[in-house]
Amino acid sequence: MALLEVEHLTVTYGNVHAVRDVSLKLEPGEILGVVGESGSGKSTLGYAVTKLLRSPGQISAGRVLFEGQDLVPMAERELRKKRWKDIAVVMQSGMNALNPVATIRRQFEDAIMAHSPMSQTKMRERVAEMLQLVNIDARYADNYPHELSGGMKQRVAIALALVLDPKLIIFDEPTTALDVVVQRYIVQNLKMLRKRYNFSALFISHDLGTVLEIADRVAVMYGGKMVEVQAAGELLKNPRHPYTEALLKCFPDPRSEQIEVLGIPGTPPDLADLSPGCPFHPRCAMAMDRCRVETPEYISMGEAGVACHLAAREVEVGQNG
Amino acid sequence: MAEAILKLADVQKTYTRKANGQVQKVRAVRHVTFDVPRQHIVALVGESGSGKSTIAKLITGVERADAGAIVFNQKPFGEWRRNMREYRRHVQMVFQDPYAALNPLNTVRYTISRPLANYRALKGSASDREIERILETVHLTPVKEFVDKLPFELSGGQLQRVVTARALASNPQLIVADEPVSMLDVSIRAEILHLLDELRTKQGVSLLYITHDLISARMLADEIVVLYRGTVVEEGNAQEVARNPMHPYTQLLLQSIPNPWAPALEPNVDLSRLDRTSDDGGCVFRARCPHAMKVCETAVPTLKSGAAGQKVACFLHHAPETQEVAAP
Repeated sequence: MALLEVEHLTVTYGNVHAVRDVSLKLEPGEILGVVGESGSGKSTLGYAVTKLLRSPGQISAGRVLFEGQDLVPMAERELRKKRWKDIAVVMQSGMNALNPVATIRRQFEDAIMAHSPMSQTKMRERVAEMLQLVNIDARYADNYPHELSGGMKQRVAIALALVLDPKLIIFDEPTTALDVVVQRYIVQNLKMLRKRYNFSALFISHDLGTVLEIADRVAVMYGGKMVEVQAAGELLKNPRHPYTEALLKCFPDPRSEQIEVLGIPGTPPDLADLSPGCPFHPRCAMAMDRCRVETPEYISMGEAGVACHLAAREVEVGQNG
Repeated sequence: MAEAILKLADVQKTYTRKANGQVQKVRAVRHVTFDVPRQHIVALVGESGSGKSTIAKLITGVERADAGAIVFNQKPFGEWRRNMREYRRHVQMVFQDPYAALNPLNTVRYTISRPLANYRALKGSASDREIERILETVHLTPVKEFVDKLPFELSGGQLQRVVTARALASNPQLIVADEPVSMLDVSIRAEILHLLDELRTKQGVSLLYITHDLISARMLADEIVVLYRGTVVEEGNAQEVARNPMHPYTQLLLQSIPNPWAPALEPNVDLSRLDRTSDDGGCVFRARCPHAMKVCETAVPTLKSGAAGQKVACFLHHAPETQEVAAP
C-alpha cells in the first residue's frame, strides 16, 4: 500500500485556486520531488498534505490518504498526534522556524516529551545522536538558534524533523536560502539519512537541479496543476511536457562547453482565472488551437504521467505503434 | 584592456559589534583589490559572509572604507565625497529584492520621474518622453500598458525591469547590481541577465554584478572575482575561472552546483569541514581546504598570476617564499 495517496486535491484561497485537481502517490521509502515556480501551488500542496493551511486556505475537494486513512475530515486532536511523530515538516528557511528563545536542546525535548516521553538521560543521548547525524557537535545543544550559522540552523531543523522517526517528511524549499556548498552538504546528508531511516519524503523546491539529484521521482507543477511526473533520470532524459523541457533548459550543465540559458518568455498564469485551456499555453512554443480551449487531462501511466495534448498524442502513438 | 572606470586598491572594512558584553571585530573586507574596466561586466562571486555586499556599500558610499583606495573615473572617492550628488548620478544600484526596492504607492512613471528631475532636471513632457525611452530600453513594452501601473500589478521580472529603469534614469556610467536575479523565478532570470548585457553593449554602461551563482557569472561577465571571507582568492577571465578554477574554494563552488547530468561524477567533497573557520593568520580558507599545508597556517597567500592566465591566492600554485613581496 502506498504511504501517501493524494486524490483529486483542490485547495483554494478565496477565489484563487492554488492547487487544482492534483493526485499523487508516495511509496514507503520513496522521495518524490515537487518542482515548480512561485505560484505553481507546490508549497500549498505541502501544507495541504499536513493540513497546516492558513485561513483562508482550504481543501475544497479531494482526499489525502495517509496509510489509507483520510486526513481531510480528521479532527485537529487526531492530527496533532500524527504530526511530527508520523508526518514531520521542514519549513522553508527552516532556520527561522526554530524558536529563538529556546536552546536547541529544549526544542528537541519539547518534541520528545509531547509525543514519546523518555528519561532525562535518554533524552540527552538522543539529542546528541540527532545532532551528530547532521554533523553538528553536541556542544551546540545548549546554544540558542541565533548563535548558529544559517546552514547549521537548517541542519538542526532537519534533525528535529527526524527525532521521532517519522514515516513521512515534507521538505519545503529546504536548501533555498543557503549557500551552494551548504546545499551540496544537505543533499549528501539527506541521501545518507534516508538510507538509514528509510523515511518517505515530499521534497518541494524550485531548484530542479537539486530535486533531480535527490528525488526518485519528480512531479512538475504549473499553475496549480500537476503537469508531469516521471522517474528523475527519465525526466532529465525524456521530458514529456513542454514546460518541463523549457524548465530543464534553465538549469545548464555547469561543465558544458557552451552555456546558453533562454528562460521561458511570458509570465505565470493568474490563479483566479479559471478559463479552460492548458495553463501553460500562453508561454508554450508548441501550443495548438486545442490547448487554448480544452484543459488537458492528466494521463497516468503507472509511476509516471503527463497533462499535455501533444504528449498524450505521442504516448498513444507509442502504445499503438 | 580597457581603462578602468572603477579601481579598488587594498580596500579594508572592519565592523565592530558587541556580543555578550565583549567587543568583537568582524573583518568583512580584508584586502580587496580589483578593477572594473570601462564597459566591462565584472562578477563578484562569493557566499554569505564573503563581504560582497559590504563592497557594494563601500562603492556606493553607504559605508566608508577603513583603509585602501576606491577610485572612480580617475578620481579618488574622497574627492567625490564632497559631491555625492554627482557621484550618485554616475554610480547607480540595482537591488536584490524588487518587491522591497520600490515604493508600493508610487506608479512606474513617478518612480522613474524622480531621478530624471533630481539628476537631469527633466520635467513635464521632456520627462515623459525620457520615461518612455527608458521603459523601451528595459523592454517594458507597450509602454502605455506599464507606465501608470503600481508595483502590486506587476510580476517579479517586470518589477526588476522597473528597478533597472530607475537606475538607468540618471544616465549612469556604472551600475552595481547586488544579486539582481536571485529572488526571481528561474524561467525569467535569463531575460534580466540578457537585459543587463544589453545595457553594457547598447548603453555603454559598466557593470559590477554581485552574485553567489558561478554559472550566471560565467554567462554574463567578462571577468570573475571570487571572494572568500573578505579576500579575493581568484580572479580572471570569466570562462577560465568558472570552467577551470585554480583555487580550492572556487573548485568547491563549482563541484557543489547540482549536476544531475553526470551522477557518476558526483563529488564527495569532505563536507565535515563545513563549519570550520580560520581567522588567526594564515590562509582564510585553510580550515575548509582539503589541500591545507603547513605553510598555510603561517603565511597569507596573495594574489599572483597562475598558469592559465587567472590570478590566484594559493600556495598550491606558487611557492610561499615569493609571497613576502607585497601585492602591487
